[in-house]
Amino acid sequence: MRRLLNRVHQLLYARDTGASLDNARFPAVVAELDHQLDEWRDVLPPAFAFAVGRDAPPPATERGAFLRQRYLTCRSVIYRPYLMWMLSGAGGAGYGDGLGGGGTVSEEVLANCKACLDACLLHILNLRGFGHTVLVDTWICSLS
Amino acid sequence: MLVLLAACRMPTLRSLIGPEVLAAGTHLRQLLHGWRQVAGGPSSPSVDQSVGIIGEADRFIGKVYG
Repeated sequence: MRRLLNRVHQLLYARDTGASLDNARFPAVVAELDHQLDEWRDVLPPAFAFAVGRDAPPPATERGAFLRQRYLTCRSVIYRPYLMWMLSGAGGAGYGDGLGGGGTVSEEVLANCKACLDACLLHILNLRGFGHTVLVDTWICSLS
Repeated sequence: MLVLLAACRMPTLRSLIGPEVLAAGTHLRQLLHGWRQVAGGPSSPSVDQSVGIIGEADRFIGKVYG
């Protein structure tokens, strides 16, 4: 997960080369990183497994709960370029780029914004007193 | 919280966020309050600032959902 988070920051947010502000580049990068994130989750052993979603049952172990928080953090960062794109005003401004051209916002863009927002909110609401995370995650949730 | 606050201010994005967002600020404040009690004094200016930011963001989000 640490390596994946580093990859996310490198590919999307690295100074000068990050794709997050380039709406011609970031969709493909986001899709690939999301694929890698789900592949990581798919191979977790049962003791670390967790479900995702608003109605998902709580993980069976504290380790699973902790990893779910890391998963949600990573997911929110991966999908954040869509949110920033919308918040910048470009998302509904009729950019003829295939993302939301013609002055309307495509369902795909909205779904990807929702993926980011859901991850942020679930991360906050599922934050608990995990022995190794409560302080760090509280800061993340507060200041981002 | 700031990401959610920014999204709440745009109607298209607000419709994507459930009413659970109204519980987020209180939840975070409770966690930080508990941590501060464990840590004891003196209080940290940066923690105080963080709690203040959470409170303000929570208040604005509450207003948006009015």
